[in-house]
Amino acid sequence: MVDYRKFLKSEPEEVAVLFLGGLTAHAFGGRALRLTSSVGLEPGWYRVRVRGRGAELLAQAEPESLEGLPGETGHFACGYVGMSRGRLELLERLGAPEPEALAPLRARRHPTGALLLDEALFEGEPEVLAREALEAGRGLSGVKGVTPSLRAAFALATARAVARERGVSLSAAELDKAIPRIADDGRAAAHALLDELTLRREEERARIAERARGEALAAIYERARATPRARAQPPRLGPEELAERALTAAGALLLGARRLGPDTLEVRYQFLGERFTSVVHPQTLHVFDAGICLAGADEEVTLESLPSVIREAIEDGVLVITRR
Amino acid sequence: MAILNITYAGLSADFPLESGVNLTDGDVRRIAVEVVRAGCVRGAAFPSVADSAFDHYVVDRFTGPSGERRIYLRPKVPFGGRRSA
Repeated sequence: MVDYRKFLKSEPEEVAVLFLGGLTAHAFGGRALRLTSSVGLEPGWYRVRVRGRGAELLAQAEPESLEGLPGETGHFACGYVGMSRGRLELLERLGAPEPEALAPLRARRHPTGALLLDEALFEGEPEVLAREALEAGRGLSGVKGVTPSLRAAFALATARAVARERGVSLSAAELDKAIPRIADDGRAAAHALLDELTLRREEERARIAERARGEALAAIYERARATPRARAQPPRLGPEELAERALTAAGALLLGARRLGPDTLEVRYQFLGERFTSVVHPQTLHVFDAGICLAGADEEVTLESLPSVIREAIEDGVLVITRR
Repeated sequence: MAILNITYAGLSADFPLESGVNLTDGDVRRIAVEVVRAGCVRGAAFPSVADSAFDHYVVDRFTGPSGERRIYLRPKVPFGGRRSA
């Protein structure tokens, strides 16, 4: 006979979990739990209530012991740990205070791969001398007993300080190959690295901008080719409205207009603090008489482009008004 | 959105430039060639206009009263004379 209790919901249980980001929290024993929400949640220890496959966050919890996890030692700098093989890895402090720059520490490797801060270790003379060199902007050449992990942390601390002064962003991964050089030579080598990174970023930005520009231009050319002629027909407006629209667009002010004949319209307008009078076609706005001396080239422009011509004449000091 | 106003053969027409890309004077001239060839200037087509047709045209940039950008491409015209200083 089937036991009916199998079909009843199990009681919710409360457990301590380690949250490292995302939507998953990790209970000890390797159990992964799906959080119902992790918005704004900082990595650390929490108590959750487990309901079926989901876990609801309750409150922060006391840190659990990390002793069961594999330990690694290194040196701290800027949120990272310089590791024994001279690499840099992000350190998860789990709410603990930030260690001093170049401080030796023990970290634990979580099954997810995350490196968790465990405890600070005693400092020796190399750490003290390295910190003095860091503050003075020197390299570590000549300092005895410096381990690869200390060199990596020193290089990061030096490069980040220089990057901060220059207002340049720098990730630890971008430092990788320059660690030996910066560890030996200090700030001078960090400046050289940042010069190189800045140049490469500018080149990349220029490449991206040029590609975007090329694509945008290609789209404009294509649209120009595809524009039906009907769309290009002038709008059905009266002569005065056409003139006003053309002048306003260029920052000029229509003062008045009058018909001189069936195909001629005299337009009076103000532009750049001066009054002008031009004679144009009432529909195309083709200029017959610009009202300024254009040496007979009046008919090459229209009322739409005339303000640009006037501006050039004023700026070049060659404006001669011929019609008032 | 910017508007390109092209004056060619004594006629003018607007062509909207929807992209936010900053156009060089060379870009403006190249676009104008395509626009004029397509017949967007008052419906009059100039299919055989040369690639270099606008090489010596003036590219002038205005900001309209509502903040809209207008680019004018127009012929370079001679002026009557230089005033004495």
